[in-house]
Amino acid sequence: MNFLRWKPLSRRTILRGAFRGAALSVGLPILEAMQPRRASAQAARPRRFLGVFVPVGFSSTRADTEHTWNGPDKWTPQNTGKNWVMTPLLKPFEDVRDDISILTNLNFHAGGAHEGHASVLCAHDFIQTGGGMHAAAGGGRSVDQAMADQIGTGTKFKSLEVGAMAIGAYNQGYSMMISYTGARAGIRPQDNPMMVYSRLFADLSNGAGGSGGTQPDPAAQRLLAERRSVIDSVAANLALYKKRLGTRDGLRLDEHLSQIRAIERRVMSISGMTSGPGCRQPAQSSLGYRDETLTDKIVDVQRDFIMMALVCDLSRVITFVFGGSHYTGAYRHLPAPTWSTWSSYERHGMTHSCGGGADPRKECPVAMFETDMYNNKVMADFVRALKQTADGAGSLLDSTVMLGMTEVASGGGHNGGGSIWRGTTRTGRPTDSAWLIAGLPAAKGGVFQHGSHLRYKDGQTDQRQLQLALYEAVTGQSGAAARAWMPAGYSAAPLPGLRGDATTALMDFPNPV
Amino acid sequence: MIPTCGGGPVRLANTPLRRLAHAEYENTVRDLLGESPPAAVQRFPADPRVAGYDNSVNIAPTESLLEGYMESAETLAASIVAKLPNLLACNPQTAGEEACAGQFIRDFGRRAYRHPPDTEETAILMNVYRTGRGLTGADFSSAIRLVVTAILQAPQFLYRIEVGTGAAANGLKSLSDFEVASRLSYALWSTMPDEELFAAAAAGGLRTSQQVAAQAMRMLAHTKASQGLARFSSQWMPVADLATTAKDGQRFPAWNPTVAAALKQEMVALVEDVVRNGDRKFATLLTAPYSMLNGTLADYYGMPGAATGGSFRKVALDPARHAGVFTRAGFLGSQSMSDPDRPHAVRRGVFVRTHLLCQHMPPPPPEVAADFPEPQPNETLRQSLDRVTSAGACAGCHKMINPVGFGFEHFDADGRWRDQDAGKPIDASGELAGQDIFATDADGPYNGAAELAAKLAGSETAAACFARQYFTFTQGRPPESGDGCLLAGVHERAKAADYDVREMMLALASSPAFLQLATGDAP
Repeated sequence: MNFLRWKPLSRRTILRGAFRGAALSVGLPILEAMQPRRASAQAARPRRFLGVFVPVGFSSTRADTEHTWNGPDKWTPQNTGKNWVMTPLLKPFEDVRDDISILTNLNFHAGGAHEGHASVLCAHDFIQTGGGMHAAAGGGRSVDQAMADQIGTGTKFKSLEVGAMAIGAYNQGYSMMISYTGARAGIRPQDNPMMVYSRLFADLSNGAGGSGGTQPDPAAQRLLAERRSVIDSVAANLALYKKRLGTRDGLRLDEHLSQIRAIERRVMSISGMTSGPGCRQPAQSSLGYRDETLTDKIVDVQRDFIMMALVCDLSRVITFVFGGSHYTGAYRHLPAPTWSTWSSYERHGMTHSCGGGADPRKECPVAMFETDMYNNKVMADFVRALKQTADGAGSLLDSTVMLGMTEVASGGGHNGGGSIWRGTTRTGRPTDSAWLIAGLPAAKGGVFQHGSHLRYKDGQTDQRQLQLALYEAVTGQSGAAARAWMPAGYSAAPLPGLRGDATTALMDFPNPV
Repeated sequence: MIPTCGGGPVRLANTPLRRLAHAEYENTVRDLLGESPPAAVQRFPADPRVAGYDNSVNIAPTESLLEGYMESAETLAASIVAKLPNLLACNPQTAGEEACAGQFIRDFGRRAYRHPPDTEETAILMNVYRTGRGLTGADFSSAIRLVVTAILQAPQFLYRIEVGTGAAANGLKSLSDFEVASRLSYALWSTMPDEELFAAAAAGGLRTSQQVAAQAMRMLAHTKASQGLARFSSQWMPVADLATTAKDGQRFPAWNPTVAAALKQEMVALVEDVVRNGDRKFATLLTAPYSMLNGTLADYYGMPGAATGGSFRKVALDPARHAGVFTRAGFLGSQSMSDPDRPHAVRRGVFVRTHLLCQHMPPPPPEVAADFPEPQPNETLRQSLDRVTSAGACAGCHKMINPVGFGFEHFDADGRWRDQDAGKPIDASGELAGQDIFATDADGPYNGAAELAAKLAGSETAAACFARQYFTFTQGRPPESGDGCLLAGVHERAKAADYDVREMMLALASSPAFLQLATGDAP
């Protein structure tokens, strides 16, 4: 944690302007951040969603080891419920094991060896864009974006998409994109900490040291007026051509308009700093975001920024994509000896060297295990950061649902999850996937019961139900309203078992074959 | 496959609204404003490559992209305030500010929108001007800056909007003169029209195929044709992203970003030399016994002194080993594994099938691993590939793939010549063979990449595929059935000219279909 770098937010830094009509009034001295820190009873904190994606699964070959724990599967714990036995790959979660739920054997609907990124958050089947492997795009609005439609409209950023080393596999545009505003409309995560900083926090320091008066900052006010005028003109032009063009092109202009409106809402109302204690302007980062030896530091900085964005309530829906597996060299921060046999440092390549069809039982290289451990550390650090970051009277973890995800359960040979077996394992079992959830515990006013390994019965449930369950938990919606973003006619129930509810969807593990 | 028509209409199938690809945006900004694209452009979400090219019609606008456009527009507009006197045809003090703003909107708007703004468009921009002028602390130039900011975010600037003129007949409308000008300039130059093209449009001089052909001829001779051709050639031969292709530093210490960038330039320069300075033949692209090298690459290829310094010059190569684009390290290095670095006969073979012969290769079927075989001791890569793929479900496709890729065995993962693999002499014998839709007029055995290139250079299938690739690049989508007669016409004309690349480009650009807009929403 680098929280020592935070500096207090100055007064007079926050423009609060109701968009359209209402005059701007600036510098409202209402932020508790500006008050001496105090422990005060807080109103219920808003619910948030944080999705953390690490790529290409783990060095296990579960598709072949099936129900035996003694195989090379280093992820799946023995025993279910609270008594799960620690595995090598889950070690990074050891100190937060009571705060997480480990979901295994969930079917991965519409996975695909190199297309899973487009299905982790999307309930629609992915679309092949024709650009070859890794070029699948999400088939519809992803669950995080759908959540943002519900809970993101009052914050400065409806959603945030952040990353580290988020470069597409083989330069394919979509493979680092897990969030989609609609079919094919992927959102590329911002993996440059400097840019994240300037987007999120730079305007918080404008006029630092000012008197804190009630006069609006004229320059800021004028910029807002200018942008409003430009956006009005864009909307007018779009309307003009919508009349002149056919339906299909009109729909594209509509999409353009809706994206412009999202920007408008944000740039017009530089507000939303309604959270109290702990909201601070972080230090700017000057890390070279493509420097392969700094990967871990980049991840740390981005995580800090994300935590502060949550504390400051700048956004309630955030996704983080660690794209290292598809980027040659992204793990160069790890000790060099590990890499002696894999000097190309490319993790994705390593995953193809083991556990695949030619020799399914071939173990993955030790170097891959090292990168697995780092990927899991990335996820575990997010859990710890949420837990350790004060938010109101509790911690961010109390109010934030975190989903840890990867697009293939077993990176080795890309088995399981988005599986080369495409729908079933070689032995006819459904595809597997690996997920972690944390946060929003029932004990702290939330809904989930954590600490368990939930092993789902073969082929009965899939990740879309998980998406739905998280959507319901975060938005408070249920029934048909909660499925508006899903494929038409989708009717499966939200994933059972997460709230400690009795369900027949779970099974023991290991269990008799 | 050779395109056929069957007597249907020569037309372009309905194509969705296209926005400028980032490369086109950057070129357009340069030409419109005389400014380098601002840093914001580097942060645009990358254009995904679809079917190999970065200009797919199927890309939806996203918030982050529009935010990038906003940032870029604000930066660019601020930077041109200083040059305003040059951009203004009037003096606001003497002509009156409103009148002068109107003049600016007519002049600058015409170039940025690529058509004269009509009454409604002008009113929208005048509105921006008046709002900007009325803000506290504003002056004439700050209001003009705001107008420029608005123009650079307008759909008329960001998209290539085609409305057409008149009523539709048989599902076709005529393009407006200015829409034809835009089609031409983005197809041939990857940027906006120049003043001559605008003038031709304004004078109604782009209405017949002859008129358009004359313009296209002029444009292909213009230096701007180089940037369009470079963009095509670097994606046709997939070297556009070479700079981010890393190699095992221990095995290939010579490969570095400088070399990778130079290899991309080499490919671009070689295609440019053939198409713009040479005999322009498709066959020559595949068989040229020379390449364009600079000092870096002369060293890289082990020909020290053949070229020096940074500029590229023509260097003769051993024709027994080298032929055209295929044996360039940029192409070969792009089609290899990086983990660990090995030449990738499968990838190379698939590339020839898909990009040179335009055959659709199905993905591996279920139950087949995408794994690369681990060579056994003393086994060449060729042997290990054959061992793994010669049986069962793999064999069907791999017997069409591997023998094609094996022709490149003399070239290592870094694209340089090698004589041995795993201590054994290289076996670069191969065969193009396939049945039904995979059969071609180039089928037969060969030895080495130069022989393969020669076979493809004489193949009508390969020449037709080249035109399809160019079509995909210019249209932002692969050909559809509705494009059949257009493609057939282009092919006939190119064939009659012995597959002269410029003829092929001219045939496409001056086709009657190029002057028309298919209406109605395609399925």
